[in-house]
Amino acid sequence: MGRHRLHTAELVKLLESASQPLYVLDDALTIVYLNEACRNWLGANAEELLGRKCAYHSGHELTGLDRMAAGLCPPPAVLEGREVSAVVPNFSAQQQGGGLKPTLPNEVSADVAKFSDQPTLFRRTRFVPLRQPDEEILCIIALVDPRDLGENTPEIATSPSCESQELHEQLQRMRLQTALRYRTERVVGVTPAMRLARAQARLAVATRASVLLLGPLGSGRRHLAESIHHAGPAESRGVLVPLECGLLDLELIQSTLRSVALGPAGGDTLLLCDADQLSAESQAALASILLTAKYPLRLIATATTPLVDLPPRGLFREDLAAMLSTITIELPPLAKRLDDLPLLAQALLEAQNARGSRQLGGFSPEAIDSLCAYTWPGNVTELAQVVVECHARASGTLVVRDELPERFRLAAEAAARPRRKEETIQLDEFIAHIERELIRRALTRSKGNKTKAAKLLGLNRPRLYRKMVQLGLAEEGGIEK
Amino acid sequence: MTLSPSNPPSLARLIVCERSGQWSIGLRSELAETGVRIWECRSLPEAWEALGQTPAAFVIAESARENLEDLLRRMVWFSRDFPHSRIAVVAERRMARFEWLLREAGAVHFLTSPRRLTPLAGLVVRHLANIPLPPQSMVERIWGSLPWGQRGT
Repeated sequence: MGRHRLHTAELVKLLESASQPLYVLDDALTIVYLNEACRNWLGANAEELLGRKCAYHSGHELTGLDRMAAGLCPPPAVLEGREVSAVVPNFSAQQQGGGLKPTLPNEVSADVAKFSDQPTLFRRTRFVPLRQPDEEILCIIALVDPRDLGENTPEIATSPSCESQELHEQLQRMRLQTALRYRTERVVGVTPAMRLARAQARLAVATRASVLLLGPLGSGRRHLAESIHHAGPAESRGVLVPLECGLLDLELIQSTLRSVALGPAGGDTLLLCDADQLSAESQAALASILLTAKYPLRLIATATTPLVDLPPRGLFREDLAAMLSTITIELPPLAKRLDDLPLLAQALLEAQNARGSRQLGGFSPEAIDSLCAYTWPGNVTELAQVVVECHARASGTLVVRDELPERFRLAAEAAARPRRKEETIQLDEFIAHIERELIRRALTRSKGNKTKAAKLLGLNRPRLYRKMVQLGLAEEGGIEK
Repeated sequence: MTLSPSNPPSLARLIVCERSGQWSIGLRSELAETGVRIWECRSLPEAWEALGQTPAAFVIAESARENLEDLLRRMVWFSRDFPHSRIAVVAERRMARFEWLLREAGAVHFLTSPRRLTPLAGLVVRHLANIPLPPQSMVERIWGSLPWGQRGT
């Protein structure tokens, strides 16, 4: 027995000194051993994975150690006794900062930023099942290649051994890509309005009540909606289903909602983009579907006008407006929160750095001054585009004023000049001009037939005659004075 | 449904990115009377290049197993790079399992049947009709709103 223990210790010592990462799972897919090289690869929280069961899951709906463990899970074919090679992600970077505690939007956004900014490292791993005498699986030894493949390595896409495994890995990578959208830079802000918006968003995450995000186009409403959805507890979070209310007609809205009822698992969020643009018939259909829905559906809407202001003007259903406005979060236009602009511009620039090899440090103070002097009609969306343009144009490590788009120079010049006079018209003359033009067009359309032209204009023939004489069109229209 | 925008903007167009051409054929028929111009291409890089020239275009991209990852990667940045554009995804029925992923990534519509193109065509027309026109003076706006064709002499 003592001799056996000695040999066991010797085996562990050997495994511990191996430079190749290795881990062992039992037949229930519980992680029972990680050697030192593997612990080093997985980072500070690796020890906490011991005893944790892993699920064959792409990890999108999981957080923290569950997500990390899911990344290490072998393809199910291993449990049938087959040796399988697969690509394994190291999600440990996202675990830092604690995905396990209840999360709040700004904190989650920060987590997501880590998640998105950290390159997820992939390694090829060979899973070897060991069998018991009765052929049942005893354990699975996972031998991890010491080299990282990197997220975009073509090898990842071509190596899987079966179609379902390939799909699983594809889904895993695609969800990583999708998560890149939920970045902090369009939610960050130090101004009181943004602090308030974040506090309200925290409340929204905690309650699952419906949320209305109010603000002008480009103010980051959709991004905040996505952040609220993704900050919710992983176990109850389904998919986010956006509906473009201004674009989709009744038929499309109904068919999408039918798909929602049949499709995703539950806990889904319906995101009504520009809900104030819903047509009356779509409002009726939506209200009816939502009031009778048998599946749990969280509602988030975006709008430029408070929905509760619309029913008195006959523009929106009162019940639907109330249903969508439980928590109303207002996002101010960028021009009203210019104190946030330097931070936003820097965050967007760094996001751009992350997209390519070109790396910039930030904006010069003069460039920031110019950005702050602009009116930003397109809000944060416009700022993001400006940053992309500057990033491509900058010659040094800082974006300087001359590298800003042309409109900033023009805006500065215009501001320095005296204000242009208001456009004025002479009303009587202008209306006569329009009447003349409409009569000409009507005559052209009726091929000179004055009875038809009069009908087009809603006049009787004698009155058209009188008008033509009055407006000096008599000769043109072939009328004798 | 009326498929005729009153003022189709000259810079707006529909970009259809697909392998076979079957979706474009159907869309041409649906959009025949609307004046919407269709730009056909066979790869996502081509489509994105065309989008760079008309950033308010509507994109219909065919998704297949081979290009799904590339499409998703591009869609992640789509709303930021082309905020005035919209994208819908068409695919074979076996790709239906990716519908929700593609919708989450920003697809305004997902379609697997070339026989149900009418709602998609309506979506395209509404998008193109909503594209903001270049700023006009008050007088230009009034003249632009007059009925019966172009301004007379």
